[in-house]
Amino acid sequence: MALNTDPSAMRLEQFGIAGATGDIRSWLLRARWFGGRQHRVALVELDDLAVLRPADPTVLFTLWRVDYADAPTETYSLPLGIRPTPHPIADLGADHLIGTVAAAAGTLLVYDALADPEAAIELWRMLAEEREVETGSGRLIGRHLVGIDPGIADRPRLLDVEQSNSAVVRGHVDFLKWSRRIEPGPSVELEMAQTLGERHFAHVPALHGHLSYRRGAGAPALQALLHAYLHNGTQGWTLALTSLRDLYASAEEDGAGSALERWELVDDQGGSFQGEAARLGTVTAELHLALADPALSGVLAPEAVGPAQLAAWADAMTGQLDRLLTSGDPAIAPLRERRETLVTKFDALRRLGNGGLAIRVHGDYHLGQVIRTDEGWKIIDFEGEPAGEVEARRRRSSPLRDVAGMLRSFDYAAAAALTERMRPHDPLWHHLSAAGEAWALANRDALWAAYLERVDGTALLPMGGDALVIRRAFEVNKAVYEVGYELGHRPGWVGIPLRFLLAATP
Amino acid sequence: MWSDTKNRYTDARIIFVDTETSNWTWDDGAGAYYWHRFFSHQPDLNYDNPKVREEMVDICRFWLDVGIDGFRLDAVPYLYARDGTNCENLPETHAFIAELRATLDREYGGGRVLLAEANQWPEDVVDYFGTEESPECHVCFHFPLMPRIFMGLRREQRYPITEILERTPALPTVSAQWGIFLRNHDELTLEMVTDEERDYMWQEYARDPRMKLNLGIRRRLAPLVNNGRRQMELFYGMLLSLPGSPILYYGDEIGMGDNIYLGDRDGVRTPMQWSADRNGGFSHADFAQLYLPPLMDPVYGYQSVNVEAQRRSETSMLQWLRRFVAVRRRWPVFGLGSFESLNATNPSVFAYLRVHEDHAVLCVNNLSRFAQPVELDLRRFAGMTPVEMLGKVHFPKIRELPYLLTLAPHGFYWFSLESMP
Repeated sequence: MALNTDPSAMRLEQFGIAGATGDIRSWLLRARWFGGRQHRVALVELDDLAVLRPADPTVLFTLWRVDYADAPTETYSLPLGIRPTPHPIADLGADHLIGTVAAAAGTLLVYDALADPEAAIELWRMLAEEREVETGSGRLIGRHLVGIDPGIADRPRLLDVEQSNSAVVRGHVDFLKWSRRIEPGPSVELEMAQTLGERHFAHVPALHGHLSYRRGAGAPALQALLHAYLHNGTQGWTLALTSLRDLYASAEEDGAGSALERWELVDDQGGSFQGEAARLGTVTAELHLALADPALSGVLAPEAVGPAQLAAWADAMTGQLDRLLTSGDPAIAPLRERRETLVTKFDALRRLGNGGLAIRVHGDYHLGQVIRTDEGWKIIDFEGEPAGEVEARRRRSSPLRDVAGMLRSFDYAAAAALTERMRPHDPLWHHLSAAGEAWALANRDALWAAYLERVDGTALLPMGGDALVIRRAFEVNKAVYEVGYELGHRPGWVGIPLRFLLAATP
Repeated sequence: MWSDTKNRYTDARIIFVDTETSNWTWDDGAGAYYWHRFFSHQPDLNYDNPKVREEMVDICRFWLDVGIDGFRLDAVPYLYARDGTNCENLPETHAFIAELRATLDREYGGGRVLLAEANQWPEDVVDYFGTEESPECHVCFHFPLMPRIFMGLRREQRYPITEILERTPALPTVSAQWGIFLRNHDELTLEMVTDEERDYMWQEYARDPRMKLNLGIRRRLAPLVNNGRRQMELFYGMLLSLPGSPILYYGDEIGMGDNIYLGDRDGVRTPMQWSADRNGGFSHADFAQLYLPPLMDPVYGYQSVNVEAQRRSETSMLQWLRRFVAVRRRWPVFGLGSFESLNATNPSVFAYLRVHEDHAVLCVNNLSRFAQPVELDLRRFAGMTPVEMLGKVHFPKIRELPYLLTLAPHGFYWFSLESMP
């Protein structure tokens, strides 16, 4: 690569790492959090740069613009660490080590700064000291809500759970969520964290600070959030699977059983999840009641749902179903036959006069987004539907959209625990699958009953059976979405939402 | 405590709900009602009377002179009653205990112990330790921990246990320690759990209604875990390593059973099974003369479960437990160390650190009936070697990466974290 014609390399030359420009590009394109795999990449160019720490190690904040031939441009954030060799950081492995460059003073290592505790701590300092750092075309702005001590013994550790973000945790203290993709405009997650924090809602991790990137005079974009660490936490998904393993092991011992025996099995289960599900229902209700605060205004203000909104939901849901039905996949065939019955679930919305309130919701609510701690359930990741655009994620909706997402998640847990246990041709598959369905139903009921009990007497939901009508519409809508998602990503899983839709339309 | 009316202290709850309907009972001889927090054949003493207090202290002196090590203060929250209160944990009660402790310290020096039996939440019980200026009890039973250990095992997850430990306040005096136990001579009490948790415990551990008593379960350790040796070992592994002074109930060290057909709490109070001789070696009396019959069933009876036989077998419950008690006694960290639960990635694994001065011990328990892996963040001990404390086996050195352990079903480890040259 000719250095003099590569603008990115020219800007990196002042740090002696121009030779790593190609390595950085290819590393970015193969990182797990890179979201443009299905598109044709036209250009990867260094977009902005700031020095966060001059040496030992050098820490650079870099933004990279990715242009596609067939999609809108994206911007990725990549904090770089630079150290001279030899250094133990060279053992990081290909996931974090980007390249090595021969420089005048010797060989330099270029790597993901989040993976080096001494480099990553510089990000904590940005928040602790409320630093504002000039970048080439903008500035980075650190803020904190509580005192942050960068000097504690617990050093930052990059977790191995990257998706669209990276997570760096300090012992039992705090948790930095680093956005890999920088999106201009207000951050849904920061907005929600601040709103819930102001309302003293205790079931989210407390917000400790945040780092924003502002290009020119534009609106600040969220770069990172610092949250309280959730001590002794376990993901709801993991906990549900623990309960299901206990159930399936008992079901295997009992052999094939009747529906009644399966109910008894679930009801008498030692590893029962129903208490947890009920507490989750209560916490979910409290989240929604906090977000239904009449004092909230602007994009957060709760809105009464009348016939027009209900009809609009029904139209949107029907539209999504019809888009799915245009797919030629043979798995869809049974749904096509049942289209009319499915649409009646949506049309039922049109008969309601009052749909309760539309509020800001979690938007991507499932068992993976809730953490069991010694203080009960905590809810995380308020980013909304990951694929949605910012404005869509800020759209107010029925709280039952969240509830429906969580209820659907129980089905997925039952299926996932069964899949890890045996293959579908196993002679016990049907017996266990029925036990899993009984488990999911019992836990759905437990969550729903606790949710209703907590919101009773508020304006959040319409009275009586009308709430169930809305819940069913959102559940069916969610399952329709799941069928489409699974066909595109995990065809082996399409049976999970399909079974639900077939059972809903007998 | 006499009264012409039953309408006093009406906010005091009835504890033995299975047998009593009121805390007052009429006495024809006195022509008055008398006060009793427990059975009607157990009238309460009037501690407002200074002569009663003096007499109680004198009785304590008598036994201390005989040479006993200390007292278990039975039902200590209920010494006094006052209108307008629930008649529990009143300031007058604390004042009397502080007075008793002062007498003990002044007249007998150290080495004698007051142990509070207050079946309350830890945040209330902690008051029975008193303060450095006015100390009360040396040890307080930690009641809510016990049912939660059973709940954690049955649910195969640690949260029932870690929640209550998180809720347990710090010890207020240097001489204070919690008394922890798995079972005792009373029912496995479920007063300090939620209604939902109580229903769950009854369903899981007291399937036969005869097993219930008041708000509890009248069963011994071994039958509660279906005589599962691994479960019992896991329970003892936790009992001997959690913060607190472990207290064992007689017979549980050999895995004795219970007799749910005996009335009230007698089911867990059958004669100690010393040997396979007559009456389990407990008494030479004729069988018919015994107050309670020894167990004779084929699984738990004295012919199969007894001390003599277990002494002869290296692998018996008794010998196993003796070895663990010996390990615990060798290391001050178990008695004095701080406690910190660790963030295990696997909810079935309950891992914690005990640290005293420069000695750290890592305890890892698998609450599941299946084998489980767990990754622990032990970076702050990077470079140290976990040494399994029973066999002195050296495990791989701790490094920056999460430390991976695999546990057998209901398995557990105690590791001493040591720097190796």
